[in-house]
Amino acid sequence: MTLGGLSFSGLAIDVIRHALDRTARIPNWPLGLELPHQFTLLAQLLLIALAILVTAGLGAIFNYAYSVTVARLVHLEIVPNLRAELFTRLQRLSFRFFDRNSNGAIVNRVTVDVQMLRSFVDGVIIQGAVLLLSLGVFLAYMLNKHVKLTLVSLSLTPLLYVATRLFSRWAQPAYREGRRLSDGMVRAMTEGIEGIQVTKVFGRAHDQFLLFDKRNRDVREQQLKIFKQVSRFSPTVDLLNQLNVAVLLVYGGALVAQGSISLGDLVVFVGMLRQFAARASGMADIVNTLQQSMTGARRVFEIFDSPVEVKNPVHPVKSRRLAGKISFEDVHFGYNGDSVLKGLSLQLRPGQSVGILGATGSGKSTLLSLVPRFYDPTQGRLAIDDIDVRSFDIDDLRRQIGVVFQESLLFRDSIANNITLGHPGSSREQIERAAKTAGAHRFISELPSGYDTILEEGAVNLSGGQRQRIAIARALLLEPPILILDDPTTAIDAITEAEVLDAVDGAMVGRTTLLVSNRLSALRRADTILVLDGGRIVEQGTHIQLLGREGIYSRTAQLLGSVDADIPCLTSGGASA
Amino acid sequence: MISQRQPKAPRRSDRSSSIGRRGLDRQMIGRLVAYTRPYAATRNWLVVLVIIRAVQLPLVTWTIARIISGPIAGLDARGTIAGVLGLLALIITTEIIFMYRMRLALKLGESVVFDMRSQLYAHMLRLPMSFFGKMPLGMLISRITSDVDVIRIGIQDVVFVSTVQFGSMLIAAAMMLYYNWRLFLVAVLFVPILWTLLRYFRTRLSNASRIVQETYSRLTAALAEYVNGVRVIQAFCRQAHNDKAFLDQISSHAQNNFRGARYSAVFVPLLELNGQLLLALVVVIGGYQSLHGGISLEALIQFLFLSELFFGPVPVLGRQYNQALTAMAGAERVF
Repeated sequence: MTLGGLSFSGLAIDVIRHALDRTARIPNWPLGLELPHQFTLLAQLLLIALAILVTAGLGAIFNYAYSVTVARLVHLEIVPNLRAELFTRLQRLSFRFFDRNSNGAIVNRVTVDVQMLRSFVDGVIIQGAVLLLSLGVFLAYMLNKHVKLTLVSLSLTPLLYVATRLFSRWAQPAYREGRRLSDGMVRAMTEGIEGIQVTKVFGRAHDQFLLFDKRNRDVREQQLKIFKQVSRFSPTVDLLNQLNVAVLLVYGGALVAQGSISLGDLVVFVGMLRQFAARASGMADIVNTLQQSMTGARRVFEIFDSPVEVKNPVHPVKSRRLAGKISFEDVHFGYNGDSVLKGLSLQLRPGQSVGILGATGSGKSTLLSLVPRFYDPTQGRLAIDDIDVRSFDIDDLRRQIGVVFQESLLFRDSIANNITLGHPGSSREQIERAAKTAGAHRFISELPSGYDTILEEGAVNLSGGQRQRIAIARALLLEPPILILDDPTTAIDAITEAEVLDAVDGAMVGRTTLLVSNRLSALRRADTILVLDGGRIVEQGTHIQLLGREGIYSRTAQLLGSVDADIPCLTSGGASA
Repeated sequence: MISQRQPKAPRRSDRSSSIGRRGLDRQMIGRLVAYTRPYAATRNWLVVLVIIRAVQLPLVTWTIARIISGPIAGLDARGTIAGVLGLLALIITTEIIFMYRMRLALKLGESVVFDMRSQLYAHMLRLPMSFFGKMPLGMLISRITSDVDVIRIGIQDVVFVSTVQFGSMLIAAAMMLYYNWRLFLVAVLFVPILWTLLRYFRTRLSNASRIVQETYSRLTAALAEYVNGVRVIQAFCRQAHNDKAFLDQISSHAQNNFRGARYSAVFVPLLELNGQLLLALVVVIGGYQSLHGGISLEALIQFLFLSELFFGPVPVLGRQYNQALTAMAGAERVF
């Protein structure tokens, strides 16, 4: 379309020139068209103007259609599909992936990196195709007009390739580093905001700010390095294109003097070369975008390529309600080569409760995580009701295990929806029953909107104890035969602890329960207590038995000043290790 | 979970989603300009370079047209060589100026967003706890990433690219006036057309940008919450449900993005069409004048080149205007 406007204006010049000077070249109408003699000069100019308008109108329609098609493809197809697939994948990745990557970095990948990858489609593939196509058309038109003039006027173009290669070689690692630093900045921010309560309580706002400022500064320094190279590359591409025009003027001027081409032809040629140059200069943007989008693509595909370590069996055992017998048979587990559990063997009868004590890194939370298959043992076997857990359908298995994490992790939704998180179809009666068992019904009922109360970010409109009791209710909703409590009183004060422990008492009844805690007030509720050290069970017995031994448990009790062994356990029994 | 009923356009009552009717907000521009004060030297040099470049670009076009209509048309080989040498000198200086203009603009934009991110985070740390209860983490992340980024592009590109392009237009207009005032008046006829187009699309593009930024922010907020709670989600087998909820949000954002892109798809070709309309009029009126001695052929050639120079920046300015509106939407959310 641009060619149309240019060639018709060149034709107009030749028509006018010929009218003014009959010795000048006779204008060549396109497609060998010969106008009737009765066509006046004004009629010829009107015809040319009409042709310009028609091509311009068609150009506008094509431009609109092209833009809408690209927008539809990019905004309604590629990006949403990519984001959805990425999210679907993300939600199914093993816990190990989330251990390795910070939340901020993951969010950055699904938002910013997908956006960068998007620019690969519209900024590189589509723009590149348009560029190649239009350069091809320009080239064909110019070659058709004058081969030698075309070749001479594009003689410097190969240097563009050299410049592009040099820039690309440098840019990609620089952009990758930029994204890595950006991850660090977002991570510093998210960690600061997630821990804002602690930050404020301990007056660490300045330290948090300094950490963020350092990361922010790193991002800026890296960006400035990139910008310096970009600001060299773009003008270089532009310069090479402009030099082509200078060469054209010298050689084209000589051809006009020789009468090989008309002045109008030269005007068209210059116009086309300038258009060619403008598009070729756009190549600088395309190359730059390519480098950025490649960085984004690599980071996005890293998520797609991350292995789903915990896989569903091809033929899972038929789903049934489990009794709750749990057997750890010489179980080993490690993170990144570091052994966490070392040949652990343990058996729990249905309905039995086991408390687990251990120092940080002793493997107690890992032990719990193996039961619902958040991780799989690296060696050995874990069985429920004598069936290897790897034989169950993962969702079926997890629906029979209630889990309460250290942090309650409630979502911005109603209390009812938080309790029914895993079972959205549950009735209000089921919800209330779970809440009553968890000791949460009363305080929920006293809230102005009751179960329909919307929780704020981090459920900060509830106390720590209230949050944890809702988390317990959530775990109990479908009355699972197995209950896992991962240090549910770790982040709460002593008064709230009593409320939560009451809830724990109610929750444990009739369920095989694994309870990790460093508080003896919680552990002594269990039938049997295990002490883990260095990935091995080093002590085992009831609260009273362990207090009577010279071991880690009794030393812990002395340190905590809690040797009130007279509080009875809920049930009695014993686990065999 | 984040509400699954995602509105296409955010509610007015939501502070973070207020959709105004303004295009470019002067007060907002003033606040953004204030961020460049610590970098006054860079900014001032940049203004000088922008002015020089605004003069250089039409000068390159004029020189090319002058060489064709002068020494080449007059078959003057020596004059052609001299003209081309002059053009070469001009091209080289133009590209040097371009390099520094680009470098300083990128540096200024990055410095401003650096300060903005720092101040934003420092401010967040001072806010009361109640703020964090109401504002999801993901929305805060999107403020410091997506919103600040569109402001950066606004500072790096919009102001300076627009100034160069607008300056080129003005100089082209002055030259057109010099060559033939009647043909110049024809070009002036397009100003009210362009103005009307701008007014028509201003509100639509502006609102589209704001809604896109808002839905993007909600998307980020949802994502951050899902990622933060992924262990709970997996423990309670919530993945399939979340897939659907997130897909709804993605679709809502995609539709809004598409709506904005469709406005641009109409706006930019309409702007480009004006240039071709002028070309057609110049061919008829200028050609007629040329035959009756009203304008020389050389001047007409110049005029054709200049009309391209006059209208060439119009679509660029249209795109920059769109970008400016996006930056305004980002700035509103950051401030």
